[in-house]
Amino acid sequence: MITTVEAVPFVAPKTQGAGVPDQDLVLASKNLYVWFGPRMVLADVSLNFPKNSVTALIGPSGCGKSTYIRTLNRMHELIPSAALAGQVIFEDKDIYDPTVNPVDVRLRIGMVFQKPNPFPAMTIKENVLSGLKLAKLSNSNQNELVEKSLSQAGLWNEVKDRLDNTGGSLSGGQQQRLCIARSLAVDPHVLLMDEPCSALDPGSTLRVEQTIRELSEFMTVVIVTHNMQQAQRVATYTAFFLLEDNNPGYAVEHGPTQHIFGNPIDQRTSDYVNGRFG
Amino acid sequence: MVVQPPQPRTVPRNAQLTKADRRFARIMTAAAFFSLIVLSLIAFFLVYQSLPAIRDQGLINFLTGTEWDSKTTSDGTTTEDPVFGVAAMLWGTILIAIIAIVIGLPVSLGIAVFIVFIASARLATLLRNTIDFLAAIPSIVFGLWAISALTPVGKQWGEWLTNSLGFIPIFENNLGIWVGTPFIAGIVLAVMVTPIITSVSREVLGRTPPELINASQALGGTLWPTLRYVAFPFAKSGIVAATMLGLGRALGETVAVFYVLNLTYGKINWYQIVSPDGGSIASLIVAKFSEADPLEISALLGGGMVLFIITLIVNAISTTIARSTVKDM
Repeated sequence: MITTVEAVPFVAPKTQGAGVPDQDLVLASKNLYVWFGPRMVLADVSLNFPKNSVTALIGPSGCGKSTYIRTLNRMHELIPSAALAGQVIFEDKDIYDPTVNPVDVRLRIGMVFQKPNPFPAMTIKENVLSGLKLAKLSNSNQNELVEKSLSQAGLWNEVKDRLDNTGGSLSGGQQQRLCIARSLAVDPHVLLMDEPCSALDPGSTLRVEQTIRELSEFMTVVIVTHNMQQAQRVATYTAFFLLEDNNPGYAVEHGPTQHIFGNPIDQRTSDYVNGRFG
Repeated sequence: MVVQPPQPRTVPRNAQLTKADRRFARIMTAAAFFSLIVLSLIAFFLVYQSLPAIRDQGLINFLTGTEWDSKTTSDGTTTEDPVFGVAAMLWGTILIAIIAIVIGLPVSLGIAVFIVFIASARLATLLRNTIDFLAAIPSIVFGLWAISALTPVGKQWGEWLTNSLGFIPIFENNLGIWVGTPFIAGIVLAVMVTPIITSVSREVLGRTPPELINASQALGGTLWPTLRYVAFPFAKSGIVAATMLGLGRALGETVAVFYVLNLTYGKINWYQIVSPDGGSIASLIVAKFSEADPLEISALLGGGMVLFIITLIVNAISTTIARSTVKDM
């Protein structure tokens, strides 16, 4: 549903930083604006996500990181009163083009959530294959797909002997990797992760981070995180989001991770990554 | 070093209570036991009062017999032994309850899904209130509606079913009369059980965790797959419990059914739902009670006891299922 929002002229904020080269992009947002009802929550976000890279989105709570990531696979529009303007280019096509089916977008751009959310009524195997059922896809070799997806998520060795147990029988970290495997089973090209480790203990967190690094060998990952160390451990690129006063949130600075953390251009980025606020 | 472990001790539960707390707790305990006592007294009363008839007829004959005749003529003389068998009425009760659920359950689920997953907030509130209001309508009003408005239409529907689908045994009708059928009684009951099933199903479907719905949508699941693979499995036992609650109401309903159902003795109508051969224990009691002699009253109370036991069983099943649902969550 697209609500009409009264256009109030304002000075668009500018994203600083070295940015990301314009070539070999899988995903990019161009001048993206987002609203909830009449309230603009994100303004003019243009970010590039190169192929097989990991990009971390950092920033204080409520600055619109999660909202932004949900616009990248058309999950944002499922919230009543949500609206947006601008483009999200995925593999040279705008995913908001009227001819594009949102279901196809979500299959190619997978998502992992903050809280591990395996389907409780399904076994581990059924959870991995749930995407096929939900999107009415067929796969001739389901056992192979289950093994491949769970291996990619780094979970195969731990669960191969109990694929018929329910997902709820696993630990939190294992459940989260099961959710990653579930997303991988429908063969996405991009994986969006919304604070995937915030509900996990440090050991499980490291395990998931290792999975993310392995995934980035063949796919593009965008991860929202509040953990500065995590961003530096896993991300090639980092974007810093900020919301000030009553203005909409926006991307203050975007560039290679070592620039953002080593010698940021914007003073606010420097303050944030050094723990002076947020 | 070997040490003796300290002696464990427990703190009695009501040690922390004040005097007022304790008095309040006693009143609450009494209230809780009161319901148990009332239930036991009703059960005892039914058994005690129905004993003369059951002794007279024999328990097996009473439960399996289909005739119901006091053999009393209008001047009050009895020529033969009375026969009281509850089987036809018992099966009729179950048959119309099944019809009510078969019609009412899909409708209720449809309404519940619409309210939870499709309707706008304002429409959902309006519908919720309307459905709850439906539950508050007295059954006598349903009965009057059924006899004056539903019966003429239900008769045509029944006739249509026999004419076009009569080759299916359940739609057979050899009498050419389509009034007073279990089908019509079942429709009335369907309307009456819909509010109960809808509100419980709505409640459990609405408790589907949003993160599971998100997960389904992120995997490309649209409305129907999300319902089928995520929401319904989650709400399954709650929906079964809702159905049992509806069944409980359908089994015990008296007045609305009494108005529209033709009671037939002497045979059990197993499945011909558009034939005017119905049975209902509750309706039987209403129909016979005012002119019954002491033995027949005892027999009618026996029928009440059978109904009481069946509704108790249905309720026990539904609470057991509901409890296991709560445990899962």
